[in-house]
Amino acid sequence: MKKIFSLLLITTTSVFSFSQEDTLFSKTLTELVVTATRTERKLSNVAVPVQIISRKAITQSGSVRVNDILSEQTGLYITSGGATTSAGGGVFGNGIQIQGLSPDYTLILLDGEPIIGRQGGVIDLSRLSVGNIKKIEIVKGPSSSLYGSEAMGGVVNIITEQALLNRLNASFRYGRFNATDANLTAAIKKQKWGLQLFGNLNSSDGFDLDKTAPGQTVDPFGSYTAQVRVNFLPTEKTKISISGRYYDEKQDNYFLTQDIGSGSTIAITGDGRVTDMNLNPVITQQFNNNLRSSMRFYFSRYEYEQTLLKEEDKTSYYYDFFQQDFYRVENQTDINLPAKNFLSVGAGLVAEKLNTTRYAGKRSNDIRYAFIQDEWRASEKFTLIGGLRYDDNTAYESRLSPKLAGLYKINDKLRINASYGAGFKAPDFRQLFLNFFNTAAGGYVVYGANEITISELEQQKQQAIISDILPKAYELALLKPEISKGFNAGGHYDANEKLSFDLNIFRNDIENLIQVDIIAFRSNAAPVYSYFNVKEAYTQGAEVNSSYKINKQFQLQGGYQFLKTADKADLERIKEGSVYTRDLQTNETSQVTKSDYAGLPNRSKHMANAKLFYENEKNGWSASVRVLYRSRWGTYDKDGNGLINRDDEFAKGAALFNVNAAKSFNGFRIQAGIDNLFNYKDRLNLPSQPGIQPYVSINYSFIKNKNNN
Amino acid sequence: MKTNLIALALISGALFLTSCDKDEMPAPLTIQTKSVNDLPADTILGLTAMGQPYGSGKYTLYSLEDNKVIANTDSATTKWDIGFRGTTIITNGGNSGPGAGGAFVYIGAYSDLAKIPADSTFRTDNAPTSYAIRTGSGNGWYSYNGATQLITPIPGRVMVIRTATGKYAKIEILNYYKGGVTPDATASDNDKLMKQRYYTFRYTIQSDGSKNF
Repeated sequence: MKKIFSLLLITTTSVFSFSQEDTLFSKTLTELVVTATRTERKLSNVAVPVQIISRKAITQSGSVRVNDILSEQTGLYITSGGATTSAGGGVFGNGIQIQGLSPDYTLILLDGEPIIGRQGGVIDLSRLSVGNIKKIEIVKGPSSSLYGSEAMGGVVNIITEQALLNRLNASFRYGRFNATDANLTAAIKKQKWGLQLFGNLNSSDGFDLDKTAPGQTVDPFGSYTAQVRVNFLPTEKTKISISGRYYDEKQDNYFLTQDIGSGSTIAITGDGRVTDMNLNPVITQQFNNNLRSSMRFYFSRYEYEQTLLKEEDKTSYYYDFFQQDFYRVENQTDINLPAKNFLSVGAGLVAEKLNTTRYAGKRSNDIRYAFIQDEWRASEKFTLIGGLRYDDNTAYESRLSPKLAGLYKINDKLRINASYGAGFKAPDFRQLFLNFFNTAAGGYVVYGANEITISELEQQKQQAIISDILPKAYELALLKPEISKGFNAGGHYDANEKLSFDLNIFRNDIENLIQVDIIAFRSNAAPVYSYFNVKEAYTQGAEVNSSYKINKQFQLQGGYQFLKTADKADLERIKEGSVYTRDLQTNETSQVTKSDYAGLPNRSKHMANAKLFYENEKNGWSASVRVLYRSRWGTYDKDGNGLINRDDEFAKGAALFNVNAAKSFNGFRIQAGIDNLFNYKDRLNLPSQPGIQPYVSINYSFIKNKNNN
Repeated sequence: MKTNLIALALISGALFLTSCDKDEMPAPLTIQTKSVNDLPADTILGLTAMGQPYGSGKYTLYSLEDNKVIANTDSATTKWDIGFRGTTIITNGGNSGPGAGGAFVYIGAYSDLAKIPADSTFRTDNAPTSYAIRTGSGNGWYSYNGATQLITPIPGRVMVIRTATGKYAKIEILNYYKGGVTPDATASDNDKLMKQRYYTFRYTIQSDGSKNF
């Protein structure tokens, strides 16, 4: 009986519990983290800053998509998706900023495997339903020593549920703008195997923030998600799991555009579609108490297609197709060595393939990588972790990423930790492979770094396609990955059983940022661009979190992040005294000082949140009030000096208020709430914020288990 | 903080000086400051089949001394001092014209430029490879934002001009769009294209041949 119980517990986590201290039993008592070290550890034993979002927090907040719940966490900012979802024009979507780094620099994992399909560098988090999420782990700071590319600002690992108990759950939510979200979850749990099924339907009529402009601000959209996971335990020491997921999103497009020159109006109609699928078999063998090995296989395909037609005669206006395939095979082996050393070694192969109308033909990249990490528990109080990973790439320069982290438990109440790590991000596909001739705005040309050479330019010059080759063109080279070096230091303090604090101070230095530059002029004077590793920036700040249990029913949480960022070249120019601004009223110019400079755009200096949760298990009532504040942030340069400094270059800071209440009875859970209670809107700077959104949801569990919610 | 104070001191000093000019010490008659609004400079007529905007391709020639537009038929004379075509600005010298023209870009506030520094080097045009006023975003008088597709004069950039007849002037471009207002980032492509290439600028010319303003 005890054995079965253990097995059941094992299946609830994506990786076996392993080390001596982290016994299976302790799992029920403390929070566990898998993302920080790639092995399961107690949160209190982790040496890097980690945030965990539980299933309960997701449910209590009434979230629907992953971006909803992440937007309520300290230090995370969800970038605005512009006027469309990812299917409605391929622009950006809702990405995540960690420690002031753009969404491009955060790795998003689903059950430990990377989500692909970045548009403009952004993984649109609204592609992910929260309906089957068990928890979300967020590791802050560079983590490429374990995860390779993209893990510069941090890693978000979305961990989905596995069959733990027999279960059948259905839920439906309805909100403003005909927004619906329906979920069905079923699980069958037998002694040796488990099956988990999940389905989600999500749709909305979209909304319109500007009635005077034709078309809607956000057009109607709808999506569905299906996920299946099978766990099989053929022997006590072997675990096999296979999971598959399919996502399909569609958005209608309708807008008016002007024919340039004649000024006549054309109506454009059509639709955009995103599909995304993944398949992930994993086999794990526990050879003995000191040796365990996992083989992970992963395939993912992301597809985006947009077809726009002129409404009048149904002729083509625009067509865009983008298909990305990602194959990976990976082994990770964990070994317990003497003297309390816990070693993880791993290696893998990645093949990426692209097929798109945006580049000239099919493109591919292969990666071979290996990593090693040793966790040394020097004493009861002190743990030291060292890690190293090497990524060898065919399409860009290879990269070595180290990490060093230490944890010291001063006493039962106080622990401190510090870590240093390197992160990198591979040049993205457009930076490598773009081959773009703009027909709409001036006939300029953009070449990915792998698409043009100086000899090809010289050939073009002989053919009189190009008139001038600029000195910059002679610097064309294999792109290096963008890199960061990050330092984090902080601690956790339990003042008493009710009150706790977390602090983290961070600094990230980012180099080799890739920027576009002019390499030549065409004979018609239009510029030719390509990509170079040039820019340097930094982000630094501090994050504080606190939690206070007022009594059995009430809990108060608060968080604050202070953030400073800068483009180092901008700082240099300010120091030189060559940066001026122009007064909006008088047109007079004056010098910009360091204190006027706002740093990188779309970053707020201050972000804060306060949340009050109420829960009464006896009568089934629960409620929450959450306030999320963000100070003003830079939008774009208007005075022509290339940086954010003048007041009209900022969007106003604001606070969002979200409230809800829920009642559970007889297997039902009914929740009603209002997001954005005071109807905050900013049409120009936050077109994806529709204003006040009331909603109601109902959830029913057909099988009565304590663990259902 | 210190730099702030200095900047404040500079600004208030500058304000004080200009107010002196106006109220107490009338400027010498040889110095004149003028404003020019909405000077069209090869405005866009349409798009080519390749989608490229085109205009007439001609420079708008301007006399700073007479504060007026000079006909293109007089391009081979010294009647004009400066010419505008899109973002390209020429001076009447080098291979652009028969005059003594030249120019360079001074970094600083317009009002701070009271005297052209003695060690200044005036550049001349050698079209199409180089111009006295450098072309390209961030190189001369303007910056182009690829994300918003808007052109903005860089604040703190003053063009110091030697006229066709060898006199000195300073020019500050204030705006590149019709009506002197840069369109919003969210404006239509049509607005951004059809309203551009209209210069609003101010200039000060010293007609006694000295380098003082």
